[in-house]
Amino acid sequence: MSGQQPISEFKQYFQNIREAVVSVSKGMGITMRTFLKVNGLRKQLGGYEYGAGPVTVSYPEVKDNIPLHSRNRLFNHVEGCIACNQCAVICPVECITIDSRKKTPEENPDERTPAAFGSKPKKLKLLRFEIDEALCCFCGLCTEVCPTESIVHTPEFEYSKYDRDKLMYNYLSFKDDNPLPKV
Amino acid sequence: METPQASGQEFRTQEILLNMGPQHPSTHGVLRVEVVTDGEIIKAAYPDLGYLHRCFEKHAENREYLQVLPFCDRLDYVAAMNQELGFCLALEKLLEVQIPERAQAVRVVVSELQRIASHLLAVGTYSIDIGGFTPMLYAFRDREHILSIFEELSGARLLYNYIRPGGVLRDLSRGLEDKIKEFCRYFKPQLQEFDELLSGNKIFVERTANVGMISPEMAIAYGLSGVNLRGSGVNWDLRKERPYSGYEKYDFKSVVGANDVGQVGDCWNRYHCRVREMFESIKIIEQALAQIQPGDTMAKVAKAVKPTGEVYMETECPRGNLGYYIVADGSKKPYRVKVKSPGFISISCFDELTSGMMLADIVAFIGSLDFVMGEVDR
Amino acid sequence: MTHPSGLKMTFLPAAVPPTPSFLGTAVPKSIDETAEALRTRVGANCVKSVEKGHKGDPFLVAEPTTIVDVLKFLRDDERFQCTMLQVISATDFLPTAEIPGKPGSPGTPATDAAPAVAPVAAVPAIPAKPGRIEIFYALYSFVHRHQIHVKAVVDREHGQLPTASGIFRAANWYERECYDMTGVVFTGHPYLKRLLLPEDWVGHPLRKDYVFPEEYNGMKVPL
Repeated sequence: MSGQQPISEFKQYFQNIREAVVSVSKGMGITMRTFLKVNGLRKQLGGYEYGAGPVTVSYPEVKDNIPLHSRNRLFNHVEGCIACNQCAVICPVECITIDSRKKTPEENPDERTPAAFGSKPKKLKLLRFEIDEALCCFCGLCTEVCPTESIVHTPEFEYSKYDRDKLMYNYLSFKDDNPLPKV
Repeated sequence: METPQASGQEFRTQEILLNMGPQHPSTHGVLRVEVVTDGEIIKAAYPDLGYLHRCFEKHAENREYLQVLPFCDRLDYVAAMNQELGFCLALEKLLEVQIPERAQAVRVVVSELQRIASHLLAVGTYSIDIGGFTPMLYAFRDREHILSIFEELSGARLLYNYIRPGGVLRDLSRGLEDKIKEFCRYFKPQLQEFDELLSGNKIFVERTANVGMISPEMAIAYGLSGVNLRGSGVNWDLRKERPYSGYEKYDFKSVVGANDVGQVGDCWNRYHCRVREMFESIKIIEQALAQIQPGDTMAKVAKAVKPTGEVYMETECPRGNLGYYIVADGSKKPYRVKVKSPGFISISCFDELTSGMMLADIVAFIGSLDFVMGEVDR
Repeated sequence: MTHPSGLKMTFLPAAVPPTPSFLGTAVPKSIDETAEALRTRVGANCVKSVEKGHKGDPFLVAEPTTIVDVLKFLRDDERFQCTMLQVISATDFLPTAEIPGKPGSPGTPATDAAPAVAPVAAVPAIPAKPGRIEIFYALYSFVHRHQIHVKAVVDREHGQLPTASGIFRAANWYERECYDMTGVVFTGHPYLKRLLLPEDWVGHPLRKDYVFPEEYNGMKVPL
């Protein structure tokens, strides 16, 4: 240490031992205190009481609450989709594929989306709407530009698959083929 | 007994080329270091980069400004808010748009919370690199609280896409303000406890004090910034010298290395500057939340901006000064985006500073420089 | 010393700048003043032009052969003391064709019924620009707290520039990265090899006419 007068090596040896024992036992004291505090106050975790109990969550039996705006797997309500292509254009990784064409007179061109999606006119027929969830970067830009809010983020995050191709979701014929049982 | 020297045989040694490979728990990412050692003493260390190169600069030339923002998060994924803030400030300089007061205050709160989270990761992993397993989980437990706050605010735990050109995406609700104040109140004694646990520990001090000395002249010549520069005694903090986003209103100290344990410029000082900076960040958050007023959180900026000109803007990130150089030609996509990352510079001073160290000290040195390969390789 | 790969590496002599004093107050420097000082002290034709009309930060364009003297002057002179090199960046510009101008139209004579139409001004032709690579240096001063940007413009095909690693140690790796990404050669650099890309990569990615390869070492590059 700088700023001290030189002490003999003999004295330095014992001083080192003393410092080592003191600092390590200070650390051990903190660990013991935390151990006793955490195990003595086992409470149900709710709200945000910081420091009020153990922080480990016994997943998958107990699951943490997912907040309201959380960005997990996407879902598109096709009855509300007007095929405007905005989500495909803004996506930074180009994971959305949309095919559409103009409706013929037999296909009810005056149809409007349901009231929950803003009742916008549906002039185009949606032929294909696929999202490759393996590419999706969960930035949320597509949900911000959608004029009818038909594409949304769901709280679903436990959808891992063994095969990368199975992560290509087709929203015109959507099958929720999640292999994990819902606990 | 006859020793080898006495019997006339020479004890020959040879230098070994060791590969501290890209997969290594202590290199903070995928960094490969070719180490030439003579026994325990290092003769030379050559870092080899590029294992995490994801072509950020080439991607940025083919995407609109709003689409480049999620890519900016992923540069230094540990401190994502600060990366977004730098890009948005550079873009706002080109667009010459005025940011509302509340948006500036929210940006400051969020950046300082991110700074605490990033420093917690830095000191936590540093402790486990040295060999102390306990402090890492203490640091990560508190980091989890911050990530939960961010998940409620922006929607994601690590890569937020929250700070936008013109302001922020979503307002800070009343409940969230109270939560952050409660967190600051809870965190201060936890941080003091962490400091007591690790900083004075004799084993930790012996391993990090007087190791990896960087003199102030060397730090400036290499262009180091942030804690690496302040740990060497140079009082330079961009939040105080060239304030941005309303930092001039807050009262905080810029933390410089001192001579109490070890010497100025060694690994212990850089580590302790990070701990003390967390205390200063708590002060800033409390001040910002005390004086925040209701108002707009987004200025009037078009969705597809078309700026012209060129700008270079640096901000103070937890790892140093991150700079964005944007060349804009009036179209929706940038012509060139160059990122000056502080970790790049921290690694470049390896060759010179590691010769003469022992092999175990190189781990302490790497951890104290605190770089993340995501921003080094881009 | 010899790198394990067999290449000889020579380290330049220690380039430590003078210790700065941190008692200076902020001295704003206009870019014209900087250009004037450079022209008088370094050379009459070391600064080619001063660009300040655009949005963002103004910059000087220096002559490529004199760039080392310009940087050394900016580092050592009392009025500037730019001891920190922040970044070196290379930007590629493809050659552009000439955009022809529009001739002006004479105004119509005023009649009682219709108001006079003002004549349309002639739009000058925008000249063709050759392809070039612009190397951008950002310098910063701790004492005076000002930022100075300098650019050097080199040819696309055979761009060469003297190295700044003798003046700023930080320039070493920045120049390696510029070489890696755009192909500009820095003469006198102690170890100019690829930094981020593997050593046997072909091509320089940040050029505007770069074509992504189909294969690398026999492996197909996934799309």
